[in-house]
Amino acid sequence: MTSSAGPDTPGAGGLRRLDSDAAVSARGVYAGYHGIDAVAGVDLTIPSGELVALVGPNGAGKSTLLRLIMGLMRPRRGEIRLHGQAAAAQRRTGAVAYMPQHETLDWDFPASVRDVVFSARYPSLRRSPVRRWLPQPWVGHEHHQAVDRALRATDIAERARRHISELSGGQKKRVLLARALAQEARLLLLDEPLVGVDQNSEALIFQVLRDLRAAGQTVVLVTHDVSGVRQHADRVVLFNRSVIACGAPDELLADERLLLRTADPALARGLEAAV
Amino acid sequence: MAIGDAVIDTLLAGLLAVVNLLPEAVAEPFSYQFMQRALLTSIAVGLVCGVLSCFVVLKRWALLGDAISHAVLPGVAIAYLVGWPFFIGAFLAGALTALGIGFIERTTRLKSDAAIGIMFTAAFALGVVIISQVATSTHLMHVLFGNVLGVDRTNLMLTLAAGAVALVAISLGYKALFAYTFDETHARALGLNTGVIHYALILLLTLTIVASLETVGIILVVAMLIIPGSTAYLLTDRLPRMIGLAGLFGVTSTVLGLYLAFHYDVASGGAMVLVAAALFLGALLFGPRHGLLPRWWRRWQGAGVS
Ligand SMILES: Nc1ncnc2c1ncn2[C@@H]1O[C@H](COP(=O)(O)OP(=O)(O)OP(=O)(O)O)[C@@H](O)[C@H]1O
Ligand SMILES: [Mg+2]
Repeated sequence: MTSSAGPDTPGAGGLRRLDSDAAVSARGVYAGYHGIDAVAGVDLTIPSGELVALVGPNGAGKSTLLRLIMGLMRPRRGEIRLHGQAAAAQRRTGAVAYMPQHETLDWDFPASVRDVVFSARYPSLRRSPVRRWLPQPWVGHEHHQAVDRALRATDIAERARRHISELSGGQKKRVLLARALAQEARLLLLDEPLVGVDQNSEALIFQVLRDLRAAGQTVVLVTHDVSGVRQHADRVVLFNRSVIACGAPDELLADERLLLRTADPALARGLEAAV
Repeated sequence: MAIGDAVIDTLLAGLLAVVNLLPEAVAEPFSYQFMQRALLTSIAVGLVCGVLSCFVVLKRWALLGDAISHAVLPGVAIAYLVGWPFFIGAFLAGALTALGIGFIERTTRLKSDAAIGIMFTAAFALGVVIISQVATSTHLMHVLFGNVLGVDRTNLMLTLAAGAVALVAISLGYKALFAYTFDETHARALGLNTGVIHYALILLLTLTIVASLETVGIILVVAMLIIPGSTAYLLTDRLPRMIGLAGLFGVTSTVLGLYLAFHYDVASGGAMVLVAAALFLGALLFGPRHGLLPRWWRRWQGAGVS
């Protein structure tokens, strides 16, 4: 597997220097559920300020990997560092924003769209000794502006005052994306944010993600939308239980053998052995 | 203690000034000292229970609240045997039960409803056994069913202190509580320690239950932790408004209930919960958006037009 890994696949030694300013660096990570590994031997380095797509078949462990990076699960073995620091310390400061693939939220909860998006301002509010205790309307301009930007970026601004139950499925998805954006975190982990979102919104969202990257934020995006990845992503990570390949989207997504290996590593090994 | 006394005296004086604005017939019972104490206790209990009930309803903790309130019984009984103030035993028993429930949930495959059912019935059974051994005392009856008319100064001070702690904690921690109540996973992504918030909220719940025991009683206190929040939930779609309304309904229930208990010489806890239930029924029938009658009216009108 290591022998034919794609360009830029992090090797054992050479990339140590990069690790210190990498947004994410995972080394030998194993983790799973009920004693069965869902990801095994993940070595991954994601440089800061890139828009990275994580691509792989259903059940490949993409969501598991994001949960590991987010600290919602612990690795059984291996280590994950964020921005060169212990991951837990980074998370405590709110430096990582996360949008889950499936949410089990109570959409009857008494809150407006704006309230939900505003909740993401908590980490930066907490840094102010006074404002963190104040009610929402009095916390200061910059926080409300960040919320407004996120609402506009996801094209949901005109529904900001609505109750959250009055939204369609795709709109709910956009609200959760707006919430992740409003956090203004250095690292965004987005698990299939484009599923169920219409084409105009998808184009808008990609535009927003590229703006984030231009501002120096790092975005890790799980998606099955290969053409979107080719157009917009800086880097693609082909993933199935571990990193199959990591590199430029145009090269990797044109490589039939890599794609086959991602789709079905066992079958690919069999074929290669036969050749 | 001196400060506490001064606070209580000031509050009582303020309350009396308000009461004296009311018509003679209504104000008359409050010339008794015990009624003044009862009124102040009722207001505090109604307000805190009402505010906290919003989180109980939204977190679906109704069963947990019921469990903690029942589980304080052995604590009360043991404190009675040993001669401690009852609220210390009650608080310890309630907090231990809540921890036990969390422990069973985390270490076994049982879900929370079974864990809650096991812990609180076991604790309540222990309380029943202890009580059947000691001669039934009127004090224990008061803890079971509530007797706001018998609240003494110590208990009043405890209730006020517990209420102040709960209200200050909720208003200062509102943003964290909002994130935690709506979306626990996201709260963790925001860097919040959800474990701490979870147990802090449970401790507040236990504190509120203990502070309300003498007023509403073990058996019915959970009603005050469910009904006002539910009533408010039928009337509004915003959390701050829901909390305000629930506090208002809580106070209305306890104060009206106190008045009824005095006039008809019935158990105060029962009277208060009946008022709360009546308010709920009102919201259920007449609530402008989610109420049944307005909904039927709109449907009937819609049918008439088409
Ligand atoms: N909560 C869970 N309990 C047990 N097993 C799980 C759980 N979540 C995921 N798995 C298993 O872990 C593996 C990886 O799942 P994961 O959700 O990470 O895949 P994914 O790449 O995100 O797939 P998809 O494209 O369908 O979202 C799967 O085989 C799945 O069966
Ligand atoms: Mg997934």
